[in-house]
Order: sequence, then structure tokens, then C-alpha cells
Amino acid sequence: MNKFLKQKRFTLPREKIGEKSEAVCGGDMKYTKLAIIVMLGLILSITASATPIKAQDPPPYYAGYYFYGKEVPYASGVSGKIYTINPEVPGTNYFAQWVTVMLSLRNRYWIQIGYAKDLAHTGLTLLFYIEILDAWGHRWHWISTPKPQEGIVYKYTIVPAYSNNEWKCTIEREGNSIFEALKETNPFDCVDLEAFSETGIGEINIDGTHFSELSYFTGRGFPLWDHHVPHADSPYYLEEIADYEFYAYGGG
Amino acid sequence: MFLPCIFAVYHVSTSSNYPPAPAPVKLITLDELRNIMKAKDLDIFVPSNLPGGYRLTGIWYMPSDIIIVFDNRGVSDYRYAKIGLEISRGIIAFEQSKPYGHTIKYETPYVIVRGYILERTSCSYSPTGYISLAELWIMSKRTGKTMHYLIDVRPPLGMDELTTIIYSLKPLDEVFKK
Repeated sequence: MNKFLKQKRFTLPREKIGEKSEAVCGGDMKYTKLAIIVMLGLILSITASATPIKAQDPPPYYAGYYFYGKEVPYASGVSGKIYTINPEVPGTNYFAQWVTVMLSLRNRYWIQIGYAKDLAHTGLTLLFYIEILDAWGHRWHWISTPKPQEGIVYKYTIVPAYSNNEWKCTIEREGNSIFEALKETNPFDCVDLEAFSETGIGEINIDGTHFSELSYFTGRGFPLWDHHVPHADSPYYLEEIADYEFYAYGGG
Repeated sequence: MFLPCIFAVYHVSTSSNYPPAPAPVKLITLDELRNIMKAKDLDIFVPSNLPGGYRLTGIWYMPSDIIIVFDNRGVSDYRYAKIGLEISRGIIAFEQSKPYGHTIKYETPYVIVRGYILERTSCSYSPTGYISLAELWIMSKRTGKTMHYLIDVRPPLGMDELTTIIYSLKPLDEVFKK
């Protein structure tokens, strides 16, 4: 979904500190002033280093794997199984789980397939979707049917179709294809693969999240991921089972 | 007197417009890039003619992707530097690609360049939401290998600068002499 929008920042309680500093600086004891200034500096430093990430991280929150990170064979597509969960999503927030082909890191272009509960787009229902952000802008394809069912494992795949700059996007259930679509992107490249759970707020509980059989496309086959780079934003965390499998928990 | 200074230092250090890059890429030196190129027998081509005041500010590496950025403010973050080259192996040949934008084809003593240029295209990292972008397949005449390049400029730079950059591509070691 809104990948890489995330930027870790810390809030500065400037108003409160400013009020206090005015009151204190009115005194005439210079050593007292200096001591207070030093103390405030220390407090600021401690606050900066000790502020809990959960309270400060803006959304979205991610938990999952990047593929690259060391020398690896050529990859041009992704596949992975995701167990469908159906957490409560308060307000107008969203929850999504997906696999992605990154088209460009510098320009933040990608093509993604997965399922989501997005109050702004899907209401209270889980829906499959394809999302693209490329040189032509941001595009959604919400799949009205079939619909994901809680407790079922679906396999999501994105591979090059090798014509018209198109990707073949498929969803399978128990080995049977239940959805296929061709999607064009410009540019047409693969610089990384990703498999993530994503939420708009940390209050969404993703316990039960399970990604498995994460695979990369070589042009001929789908070897399992043989390496990964884990990433989880607090309050979420990963249980790394293998390079190609993880559970994720937390939130709520 | 000291308090505003403390606030200023704190504010700058915690609300930078150029936070760390959120991807498994790492910043490497020019010498490290040279070693990678040597190990892979790879030629990389960079602009020999940049707009005034622009210089190399960062080289970002992951095994599947190399991003080289230039900026006139010292910005090294690959998302926000104003000029960028993203280099990968590519997954299709130029001949397999579907044309879009303006097609470009030219040849120099070093390279054969083919690809497409878009004058105005979407990019959320750009301050205006738009960039000028070229998707190029560049074949080194020395190695015979073709690499996939995305070359872009962020505003206020535009098509003129992008075109100048593309037509001034030379081997990295010629532009950055040891």
C-alpha cells in the first residue's frame, strides 16, 4: 500500500519546555540558570533516546521480509502464500498483506498483489487487490469477486508476461487459479521483492499472520527465497521460521 | 541564550527532510563501487556534464540495484537528491519493451543507448510530485553487456538537463579519475 511513506520522527515538546524556560530565565542567579539549562539539555537528550517508537512512529506500520541484501541469483518475479486473517480495523484505517515487485527504489515504483480491509475502499469486507505505483501514477484494481475468506491460504504471484510491459498477476487457492490479470507498468524492471503485512495504525492486531513458500521467479521456475532481510515496526514483530516463511504478531 | 541553541540542534537532528533510506541498500564509496565493477567486469556510465553546482553526493548499493545520485545541496539520500541514476540488470531487452514517451537511440565510442524519455512523470519523492525520467538500455562496447538505467531529474531541473545528462554519459573512471 503506501510503501516507504514511513519516516521515523520524534516529537519535540517545545511548547511545554518553552513555557518553563521563560519562567526560569526571569531569575538573576546565573549558576542556577546554567544548571537548569544543562538539565533541560539532558532531559531533551534522554527524551530523544528513550521515547517509545510506538508512540512516535507515523503510519504505515510494516512487518515482513525484503528479498535482496546479499548476492543472489537473478529474480524477476515473486510468489508467496498468505494465510488470511480478518482483524478489526477501527475508524477509517486499513490493513493489508501482500507481495510486491519493486520497479524502482529511487522513484518508489512498484506492483503489488494481496488482500486488504480498507475502510476507505472496501468497507468492512476483505478484498483482493492489485496496486501499482509507476511513472503513470497510482492505480488500484479492487477485485470484487472472488473474495478472500478468513482462515484460507491463498497463493499470490507476480511474474513478467514478457510482452507489452505487462505482469501476470494471479491468485490461487489449493493449486487452482481463482483470479488472473495482466497489468502494464512503466518502467518494467525488478530491483527487489517484498512480502509484508501493513497497517495504517498500530491498534490493529495482526496475530495469526503467516507468510510461507516465498519464492522468486527465475524465468523458468520458482525457487524458495534462500535469504531475506527482516523488518518490523513496533508494535509489530516477526517470528522468522525460514528465509521463505515468517509469522507476524502484535498490535491491538 | 543557550536554550534556543539546544532547541535548534535538537530540531535539526530530529526533523530532517532527508531521513535514512527505508530499504536494504547501503551507502558505499567510489572505490567500493570500482571494486564491485571490477569483480563483475561491469562498466558503469555516469554524466560528464552536470548542471552548475551539482556534484556526486551518494552511491547506494544492493546486489540487484545501484543508485548514483548528484545534488547541489549536498543531499545524499537517494530519494531526494535532484539527479539520480538507478542501474540494474533489467528483466527484458529493449527489443521486448513496449514503446512509450519519446524513443531515444544513439551511439558513442563507449556505448549504444536505446530507450524512452518522459518529460513529466509521477514521483512521490519529488517536491512537485513530478520528474523527468528516462528508461534506457545501455550496452557497453567494451564488455558487450547491457544494463538497465533509470535516469531522472527532480524540479527545478527538467528535460534540458536530463537530455544533457543522457548525451554526456561516459565511463565512470573517465569522469571520476583516480
